[in-house]
Amino acid sequence: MSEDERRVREFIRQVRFDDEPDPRHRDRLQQRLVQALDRRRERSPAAVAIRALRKGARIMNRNYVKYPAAAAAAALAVAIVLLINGTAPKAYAMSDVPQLLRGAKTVHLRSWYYQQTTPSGDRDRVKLTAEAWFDLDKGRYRKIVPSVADGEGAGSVKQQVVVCDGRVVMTVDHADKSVSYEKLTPFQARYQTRAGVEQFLRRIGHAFGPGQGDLQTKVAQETIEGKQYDVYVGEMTRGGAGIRFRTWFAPATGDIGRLIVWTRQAKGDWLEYMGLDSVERDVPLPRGAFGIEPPAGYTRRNTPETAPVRTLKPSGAQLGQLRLATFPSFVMPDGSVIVCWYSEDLTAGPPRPEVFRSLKPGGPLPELPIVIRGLEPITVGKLLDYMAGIVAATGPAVKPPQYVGRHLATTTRGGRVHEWSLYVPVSAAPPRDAISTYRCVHEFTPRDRRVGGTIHVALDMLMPVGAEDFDPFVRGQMAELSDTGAPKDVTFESVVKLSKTIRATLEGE
Amino acid sequence: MKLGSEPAVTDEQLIAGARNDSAAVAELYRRHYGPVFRYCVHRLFDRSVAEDVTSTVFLKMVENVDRFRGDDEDLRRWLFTVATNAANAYLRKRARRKRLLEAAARDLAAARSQAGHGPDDGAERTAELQRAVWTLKPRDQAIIVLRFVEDMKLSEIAGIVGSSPSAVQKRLSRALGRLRAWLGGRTRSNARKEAGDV
Repeated sequence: MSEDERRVREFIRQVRFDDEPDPRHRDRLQQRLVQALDRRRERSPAAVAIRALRKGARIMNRNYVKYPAAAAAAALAVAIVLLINGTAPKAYAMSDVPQLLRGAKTVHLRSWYYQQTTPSGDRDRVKLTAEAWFDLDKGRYRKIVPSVADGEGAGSVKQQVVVCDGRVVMTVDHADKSVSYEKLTPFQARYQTRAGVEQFLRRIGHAFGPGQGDLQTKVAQETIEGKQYDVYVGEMTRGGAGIRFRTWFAPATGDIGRLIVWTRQAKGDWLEYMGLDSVERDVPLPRGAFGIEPPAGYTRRNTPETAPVRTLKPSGAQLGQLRLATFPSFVMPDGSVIVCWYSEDLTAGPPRPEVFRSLKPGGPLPELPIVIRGLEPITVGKLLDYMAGIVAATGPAVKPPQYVGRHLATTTRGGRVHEWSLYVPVSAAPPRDAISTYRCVHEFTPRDRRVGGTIHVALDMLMPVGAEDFDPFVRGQMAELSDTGAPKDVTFESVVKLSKTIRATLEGE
Repeated sequence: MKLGSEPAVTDEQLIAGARNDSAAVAELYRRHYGPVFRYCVHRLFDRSVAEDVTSTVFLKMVENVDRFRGDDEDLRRWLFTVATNAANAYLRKRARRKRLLEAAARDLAAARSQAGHGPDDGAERTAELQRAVWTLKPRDQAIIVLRFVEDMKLSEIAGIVGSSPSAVQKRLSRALGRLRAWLGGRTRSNARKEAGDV
């Protein structure tokens, strides 16, 4: 052995590689290999011919095919059609990604993002990685969610594991090695599962929302785990602020292979903001992913049997003794938005029932202490305006509102009346997946009320709904916030019709 | 080279079965995943890229398993050949290589700055090796890693890189000479440190 060889060998001997295989990657790849094998067998000429002949046999059994020659010709024709159709690729656009994920039975996500560890300066950042599995069919999920601790141990990264088996949600606290349980109603389990996917889509909406794909340019093709992706880059800037994407997208399947997003504040550098390492849909989920047994050595703070039932909690804002509360909202296909909300003057108690008595669908909103008169949609362009300082992020919302509110229904639970309003766009609404949130355009009532200050409320949970999922989600939430179930006359069709009527009225004004 | 203890079913039997049996493919995969993945990490110094390249290797295995003829040694050589080619292709892209070298330099600087805070300079050593190896041509990188990390014989390496053992030996000597220039100072200082410890 030469001296060079001895030295290099000795040097390398002391190098420690981080080369232990990750069982998760190994298992995922194994699933892909089995699927690839199955697809290969499906595509093999023999398999295609067999399918064609089977189809031909069915044709042959029909009365109008009397002769063997005709049957053979029919089988051959079917085989040719199958071959042609089998090879005709369907191309997806990036804007199809949200709907493909919503329509999946299962979704598995691995993502990362940066979070500041101190309130000052972009440089004090830490990279956090998250992973989640969603079973949209059965309302089950498992989320591994990191966060940066504040208070004691500030700046350190904590990981929270939340698992829902469709009935009970288990939260694992690694800090004190314990778990706690809460029961969910069927609506909540289903809603929370879908909401997990929606929250993710809102994060990446600026890359995949309608029209955003047009801003991205294809620059390369790359292979990730044996699958070919087109690589796109795109950038949007306003006054020095900007957002930049690099997206690995497969038009043949509509899959995202990877995503990296950078952002830049008005006078800053481009910094990595978030990314996706993998997005899988309709993949088999790991066995036991939704098990709610505590990890070994962890104690239970309560049990699934004795766990309290989670109640639907609103978010909102308070100014002095005035409080505005909003619940998760729903966006209809025509862009109108259903918002459940209430407001109260804490010195006066809940509003009297008379306030709601004369309300009619499509009519004025109830005169509560704070009224959400309308909404302002916040798209990525608007977010950039905020980042660039072109528009103040905390200033009052635009008036007159771009979406005008009208009464839809009320539900009452435990003596509290909840207002359900329908907000209809005055002009053409931006596509649903291009909107990050809506700011509430509110007024204090009575109008001469003296209020020191103002509040800023944005709808923090949005879910697009259509005819197929209106009942489980919109009516499901109505039932959850009612002692007597969802109002019978609020259906997908009735809301679409009401929205049209309101829009016609607005255009006439 | 055998993988651990002698399996009850040989790779050759599994390869024959793999033409019609997904379970046989899965078993072949389980046997070879670890070594191939580790080799990819040793070549690329990046777990995520190594996972991508490993995936490419095994997807090719699935594509070609019908046509494959050979025993377990042949399969192992074939998998390492595919992995070598995929890693080389990854590293050959000029811009990418430049970026990797820059990243390696940053890692090295970070490792050096951290090394002063503790007794363990493993990260620095890894980063230094990475930077040194990446100055070589991808084909020579493969030979160095196969020889010194995977501990393969020259004849095995020759089979993987599609060359003769004597040609591999020549390339190895040249690559070692270049590595010495990079690692020379480091190995000398280690030698002094070890001598001082005694």
